[in-house]
Amino acid sequence: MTTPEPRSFTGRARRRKTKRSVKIVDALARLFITIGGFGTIIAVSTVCIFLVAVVVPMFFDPKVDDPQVVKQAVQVVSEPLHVAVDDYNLMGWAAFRDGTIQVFSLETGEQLDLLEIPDRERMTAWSFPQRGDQVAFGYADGTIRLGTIGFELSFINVEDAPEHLRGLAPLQVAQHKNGLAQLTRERQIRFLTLKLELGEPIATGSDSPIMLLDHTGSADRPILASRGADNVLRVNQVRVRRNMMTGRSTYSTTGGELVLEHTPKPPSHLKLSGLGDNVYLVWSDGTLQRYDTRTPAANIFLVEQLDLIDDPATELTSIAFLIGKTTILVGDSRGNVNAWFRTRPEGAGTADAMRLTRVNRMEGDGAAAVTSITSSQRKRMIAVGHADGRVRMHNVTNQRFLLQADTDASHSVSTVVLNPRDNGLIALAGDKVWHWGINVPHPEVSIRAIFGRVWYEGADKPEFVWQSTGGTDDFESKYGLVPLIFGTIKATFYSMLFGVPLALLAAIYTSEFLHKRVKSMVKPTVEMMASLPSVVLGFLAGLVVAPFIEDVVPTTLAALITIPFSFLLASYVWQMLPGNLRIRLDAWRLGFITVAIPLGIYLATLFGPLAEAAFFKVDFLDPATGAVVSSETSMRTWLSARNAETGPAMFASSAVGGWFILFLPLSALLIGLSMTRLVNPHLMGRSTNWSWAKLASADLVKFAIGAAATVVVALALSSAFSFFWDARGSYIDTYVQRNALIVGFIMGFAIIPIIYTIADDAMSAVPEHLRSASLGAGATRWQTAIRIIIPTAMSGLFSAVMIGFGRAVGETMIVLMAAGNTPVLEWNMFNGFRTLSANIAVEMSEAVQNSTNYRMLFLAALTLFTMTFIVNTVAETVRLRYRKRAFQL
Amino acid sequence: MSSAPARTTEPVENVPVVRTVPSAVLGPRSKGKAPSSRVRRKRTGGPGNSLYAQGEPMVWLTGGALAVCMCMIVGMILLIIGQGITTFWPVPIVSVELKTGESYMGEVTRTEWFTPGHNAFQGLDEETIAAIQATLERESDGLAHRRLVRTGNFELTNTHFHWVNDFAVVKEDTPEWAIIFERRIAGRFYGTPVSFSIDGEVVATDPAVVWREFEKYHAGVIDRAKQRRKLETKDIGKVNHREEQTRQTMRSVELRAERGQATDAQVRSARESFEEIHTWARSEHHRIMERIAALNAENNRYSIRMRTVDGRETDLSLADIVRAYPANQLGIGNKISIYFSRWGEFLTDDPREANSEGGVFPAIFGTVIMTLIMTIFVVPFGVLAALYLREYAKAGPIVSAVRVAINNLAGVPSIVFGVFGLGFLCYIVGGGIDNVFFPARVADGTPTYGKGGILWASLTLALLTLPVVIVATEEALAAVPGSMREGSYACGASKWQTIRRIVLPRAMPGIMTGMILAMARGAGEVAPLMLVGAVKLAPDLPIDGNWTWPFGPLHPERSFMHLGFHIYDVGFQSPNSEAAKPMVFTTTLLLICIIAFLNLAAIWLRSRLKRKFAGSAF
Repeated sequence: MTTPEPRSFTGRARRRKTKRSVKIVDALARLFITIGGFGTIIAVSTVCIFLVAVVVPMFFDPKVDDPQVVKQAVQVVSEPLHVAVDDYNLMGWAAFRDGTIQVFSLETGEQLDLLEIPDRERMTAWSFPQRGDQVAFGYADGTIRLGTIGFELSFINVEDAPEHLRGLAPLQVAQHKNGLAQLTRERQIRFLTLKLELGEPIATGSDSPIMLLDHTGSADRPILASRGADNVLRVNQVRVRRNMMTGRSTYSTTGGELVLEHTPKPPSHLKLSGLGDNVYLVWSDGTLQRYDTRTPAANIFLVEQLDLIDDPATELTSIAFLIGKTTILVGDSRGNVNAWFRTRPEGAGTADAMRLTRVNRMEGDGAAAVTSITSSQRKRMIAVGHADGRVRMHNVTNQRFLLQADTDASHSVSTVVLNPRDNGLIALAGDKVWHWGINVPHPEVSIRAIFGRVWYEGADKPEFVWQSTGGTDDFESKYGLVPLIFGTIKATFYSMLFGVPLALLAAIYTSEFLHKRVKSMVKPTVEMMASLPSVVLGFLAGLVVAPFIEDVVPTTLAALITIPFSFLLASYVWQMLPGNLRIRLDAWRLGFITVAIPLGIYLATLFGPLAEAAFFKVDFLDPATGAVVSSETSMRTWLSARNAETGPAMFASSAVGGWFILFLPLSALLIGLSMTRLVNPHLMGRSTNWSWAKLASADLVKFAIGAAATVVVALALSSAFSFFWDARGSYIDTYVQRNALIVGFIMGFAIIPIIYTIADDAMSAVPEHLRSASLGAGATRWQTAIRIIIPTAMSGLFSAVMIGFGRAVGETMIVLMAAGNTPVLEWNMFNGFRTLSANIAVEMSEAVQNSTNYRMLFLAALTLFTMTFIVNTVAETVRLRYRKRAFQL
Repeated sequence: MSSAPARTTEPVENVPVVRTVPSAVLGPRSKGKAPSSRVRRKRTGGPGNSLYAQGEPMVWLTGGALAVCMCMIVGMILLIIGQGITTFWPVPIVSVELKTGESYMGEVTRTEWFTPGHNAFQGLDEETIAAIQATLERESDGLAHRRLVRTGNFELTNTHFHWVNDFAVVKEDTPEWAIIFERRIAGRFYGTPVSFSIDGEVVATDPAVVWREFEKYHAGVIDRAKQRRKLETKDIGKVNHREEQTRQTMRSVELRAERGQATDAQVRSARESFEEIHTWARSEHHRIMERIAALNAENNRYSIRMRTVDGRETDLSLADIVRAYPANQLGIGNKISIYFSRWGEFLTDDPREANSEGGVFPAIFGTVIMTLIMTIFVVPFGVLAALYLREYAKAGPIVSAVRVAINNLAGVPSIVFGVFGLGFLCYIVGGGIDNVFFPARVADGTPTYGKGGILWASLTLALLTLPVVIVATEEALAAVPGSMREGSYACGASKWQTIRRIVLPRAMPGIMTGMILAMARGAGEVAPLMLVGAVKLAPDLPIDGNWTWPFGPLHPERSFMHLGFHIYDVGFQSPNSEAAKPMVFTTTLLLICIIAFLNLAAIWLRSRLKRKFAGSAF
């Protein structure tokens, strides 16, 4: 500008430029808000990212380190029998056929100690521990020695230690005497040696050499099973008494024996199950004989004989127990391993109604014959050594192949062992000891095991199971998410069944029929309910509603029918009022409707016991004669009075009532529909000349006939169904106090406010001119509501239902307090369940960080997150899209 | 009848217009209606069209749904208020003698009708049973009436409650001198006074005199018991706190020494200062224990001997008695004062008897502090995010996608946030803090921040309620008319000046509403808290007199009690659930009141601020 600055009337020069400070502040504010806002959004999205980050490592492949060959660890003097290592991968020992035990350092390979099994020249049979430290050796004179072998840990103060140990750095290992010494973080020296202690010989009742031997049981009550050279199977139950003063043990045995049938070849393996109730004799051609030894003193008998190997060209090369000594692992010359355990199939035909069944198959994948199988001491994981020098690891239950560790393939793997912590794998091949560090944190996890049926040990068929913790050490955690997802769906289903119709209908009435003044009171009340803590509802459900309903089940079920019935009945009576009275009373209609509720409840208390007497009578029978002993009229008794599939009948009851519960609402719907579609047009045509009162009365009669017809149709249908199908066991079954009905009721109640509010907003948002046009064209308010408002607001109603669905899926406190939390897979509406959310609440605080259970719970949370996020996004997208369309109207 | 507005819009039957306009024209034609039927319908007349067009039964069904919803809501609120309000009202003590010879004394808690089974007649002879059954059959259809009597005296009877069947009662009265003792341990005691002794000497035997003596000395004893508790918790706590801090300093020096980062001299001096503090602490302990012993000795001078209804006599220590009153002599004034004194105890005292008695003050305190910390986090960040989305981010598909995502986060189950809070905040962030700042305690295996605590709970809930604040703030920002912004720009204001001076003040009501709604949501959430730090009994409040760096009296790492969790815990984990139930109702009432108050505050604030700005809109 060329002209001088114009002076303003205040006399001060007018600033043409923005102050720098303002600009700086503006820029800073922009920066701050952008960073802060963006950061907040990112922070929120970390929720999802973090969940995924915790879950994904479960599915990573296990890691195996490069092999370390431990030089000259052992001298293979004869056939190796057993190898074991300690918890810390520091030292190991190997037992040989000649009765020597070589102890070696895993780091340097130095031989630390050489132990000899007492009387080793005459040792003929051996049984090493799978877990724990018990060993048993059989001798040529028919005696057995029991004892323990294990690492012994002692601590030495640094001050008292010999010279060469004082200079140790923390965690450094050095040889000391016949063991290893290591300096711990607490500045003590840990000293590790191998100790073998054997007791006095125990006589088995024969002097022929023991050929095969196995043992089980606790330290003071071991059970021994042996086969002597005289072809006799002996089972000895030993009672060990330890003298406190001398430390010596005395043994007393009871037991029995069975002379075995002569076979051309002697059996190659003898295995005693963990409980000592079964002995398996196995031949190398795959033949297995199972003997029942539950009462060895009384009788031992052959239960079944079967062939473990289908293919005659294949040979059985190795056999071992899985942890718990119930599942038998059978390795064959083709490199495959099969897992067998006893199941109870129908018609087993054996003396104990059980059959050894092949359950899992671990493919060798081209590897040579199986030479050694070892099982983990903590999990259902096995390591298999093959003749071509490979070691492969599998998880048995879900048949997951974990990893393969290769030796230099010059020798076959004679013995393989997993260390007690499952982080080290040791194999003896030729005279080399191979050592791998392994990291297999979650062997039991695979997509199939989580979402599919898994055949768990002891079960009769593959099942969906969630059971993450158990009482015993060899308990197998079962991580099937299906029962939890099912529980979530069940809870959602029943609560939607109850909540959605109520909420939507109530919203229709509120937006279309309710007086404005009343609406301004009703709506905030319902909205307020939306912020009611769910713990309050859960408490009411569990401690007030559940015990109350337990006593009045038939009345409660009847109320679900009689309350709507009384509304309808009242409406037909209302129709009969003269027109002007009806219009004048219209503002109080909600009041009249409310009065119908006590009527409905009264009818329910009337019909509930009536229906109970009619349908739910149970006769208790004498199982022997079939005569009626006593009878009881109680729905809860009736529900659990289902006869067992086998055995004599205990109860007699009619199955009609079970179907009646289902068919009554269905036939009501059917009759209602046919009334409006068929009878109403007909009546309309006939009634041209009738007065209003006459038609209204006719309508009432029609309703009465319809109601009667409903009951008749329902009765007919349920009688017909009950002939060939008892509903008990499907959607109804034994009554449990905290059940799906209660959860459906209270959680339905919890989702009503949100559905109601959104649905009402959607209908209120329909442009007023549509409503006016419809009413102006002569439509009634009901016609306007059903033909104009609801179709226009449909998207809003849909999203209301979806958001209600999302709320029900994730609700925690109500299900936690009112659903009983047993993860069962049953549609039975009178039984409890466990949802994903309740499962997290129950188990999360016990789960160790980064354990399988912890990650599985994160998977449950991720599943919930994904489910609700998808549902909400769909709802939101639909709502936004259709809202645009609605505004164009 | 004054339903004028309804009359104007209500179509009246028999009016020709209604009859001749077929309803099918109005809406989209449904599948089942062929044109032929339309033609046929057109010819029909009479009331039929009108009657069916009104769909009265369906309207009643919709109205019925609303009525059922309202009844359930009102019924539930009334139930909670009714049960919660009456919990503390003193009721008379009844004493009953049964046909079996047993007698019971206590407060009737509830009554019910039931079908008597074999167990109900236990201890009666055949004849009596037959007579009773005949009477029941005649008078009440075989149903019997029974009352649940709270009999207390747990240390003598091993039960708190007893069902009394009305048919078995021989004699029933309300003894004048039946007294209820609410005790610190073993629950309530019901009995009649026998004697009052001071220093082992009986000073009174007449019930009235005993009671007078009791009242005379009880206040003093309670006062001393309070002093003792203060000594036991606060004073000893302070000493322990100081000792523990010095011990930790010593441990961390030792740990550093192991890694070679500290010299032996440092270790020695740390050990010496610990020894010093340790000696001091021991002498302090000794001093406090002496004072406690003195107080106890003074309190033990007094004892009251009581007789239970079955004739057993027992001495009660006055120090254990929280409150006592002769229930059957109370006038209305006394009843009211006991009622309010119980409310006072409930609101200000610590819980006792496995949370089933006493107060919920720690839970109230925990809830409030947690909600406040949550608010401090959630509001600034929520407002920042909303400002960014609405004012700074360029509108486009990404921003609307983010908006949809944030909207949906509000629907993600709260337990998922709990899982995140535990896994990320407690274990990873908290564990990291522990490793850096508290290596001594990590070495001891006692995590400080690496476990659930009030800070992590607040942050988890802040994350959970963030969408509420963002959405509310965004709506409020969007509601500020563009003309005002433009006016501001036209006056030469910068963007930040416009936001600060024009937009934010206008949006304030919306932001405040969002904040209060977030607080209401946060205060009522329980599921995530179970994972990140709510406990059934917290030994210390999250704020107390022990100062630590850097938060002073606030201890954000401590676990805390929460009203919602308290409801869950007392209702479902309590060993004496029957006695706990009234407490649960009262706690529920309290929680609902807090949340209703917050909600009402939001509504009130919204309407007030709306009114304030209503006049100034363009």
